[in-house]
Amino acid sequence: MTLDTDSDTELTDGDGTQTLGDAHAAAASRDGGDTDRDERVLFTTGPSARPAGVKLAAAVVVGLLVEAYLFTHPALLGSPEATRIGIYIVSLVALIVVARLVVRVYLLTRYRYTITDDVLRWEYSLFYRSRSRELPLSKLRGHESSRGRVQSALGFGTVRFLTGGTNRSLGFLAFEHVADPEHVRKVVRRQIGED
Amino acid sequence: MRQILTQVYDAILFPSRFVGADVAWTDGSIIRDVVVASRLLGVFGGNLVLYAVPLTLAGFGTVAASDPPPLLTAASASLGLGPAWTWNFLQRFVRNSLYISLAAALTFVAFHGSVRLTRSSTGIVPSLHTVVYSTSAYLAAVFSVVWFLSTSASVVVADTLVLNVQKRFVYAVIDATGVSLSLPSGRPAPVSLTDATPTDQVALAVLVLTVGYFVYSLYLGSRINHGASRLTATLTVMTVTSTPLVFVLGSIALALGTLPLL
Repeated sequence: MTLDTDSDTELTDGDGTQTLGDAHAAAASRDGGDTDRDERVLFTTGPSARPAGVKLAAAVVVGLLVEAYLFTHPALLGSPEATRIGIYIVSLVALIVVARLVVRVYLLTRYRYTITDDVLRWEYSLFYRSRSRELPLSKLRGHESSRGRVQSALGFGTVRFLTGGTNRSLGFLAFEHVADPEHVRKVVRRQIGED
Repeated sequence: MRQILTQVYDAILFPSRFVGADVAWTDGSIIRDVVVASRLLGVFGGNLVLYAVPLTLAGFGTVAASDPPPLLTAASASLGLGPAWTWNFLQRFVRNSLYISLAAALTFVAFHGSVRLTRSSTGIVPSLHTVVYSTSAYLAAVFSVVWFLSTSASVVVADTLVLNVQKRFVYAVIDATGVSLSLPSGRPAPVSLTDATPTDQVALAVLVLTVGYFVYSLYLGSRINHGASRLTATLTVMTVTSTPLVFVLGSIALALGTLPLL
């Protein structure tokens, strides 16, 4: 089995196949996971924060442009007072959107996606708090890849996997903003015997 | 406390996570639905207390003075509270809770009716989930801002404007139906924002923002919890936001003893 990695890969090994690395075993142990299981990591990667970073920059620029336009056209909404209320609304919305995107960018830098011979795994740790979710490959019902406009422009994509339930349930997992979504699917297809 | 902070964080920054249900609803188990619905009503009750107790403690709500019942007199005395204060507090708490509860019930009927009408409903529990979270957070925020406007001495213009908009809406319906009715306070005069203080302006901006959050949360609930398309979710939101129109038409019908459009 070939170990597949990308630029963000942490779990690399010279012989092409490896068991769960020390770092991952430590994370699994922190999560109360089963460290005795002997699994082979086929692919590991992290999401790029660049698409969210571009959206963040766009939100800042658009917010500032709208505010500048309102400032220079005080009678736009009927009176200077009404326009000032409009400026407050735009400022609040921009503040919320920017805060949301900053959190998102930071969280993305903490995510790790792993494909082993058994499972698909998403995990992150933040301020001594960690979470992980696994989907058994044997239960996989379907997968799809998609690219938004920003993702397409930057060469990233998202792969979604579903074993059951809905896209909010535990049977759902998404590898967001990965560098080569088709390659991720190829690794999965190969492992579940679709190829 | 940590859970409350997480919920506030999600409600402000990630409404989809706040309103969206975490589990699959469509397993068809009635017992599970009842359990989840009970839990959701518990969440609503908890949020209601979080919303109404601070409002009541801050002095919002008025009730006519009356003597406390003997049972309450004994109970409050054993807790070291004044019976008159406790009775007044309880009455005002119920009144403050009543408005938001009625609004939540109306929203639920309108929301679930709409998703049923557009054939995108996946059950009553997803609608309950959506309405519980959207009303007990975002609508409660709208109500809190309106309470603030109506009681704060420093936001006169904003309060007048909000009342004015409501009266103009009622008169727009009255004029459209062609009936001969009027409000006790008469037709509203235009409100000028020239005298609006910065506090007035910020309060109005926050009110617009909270209303926007409420509407958006219903859209998200329809999209996420019922899997509705963008168009269907928009139709659902339009139905819910048209509830005040139905309410005014109903009030006119009650006043006239007949439906105004017939």
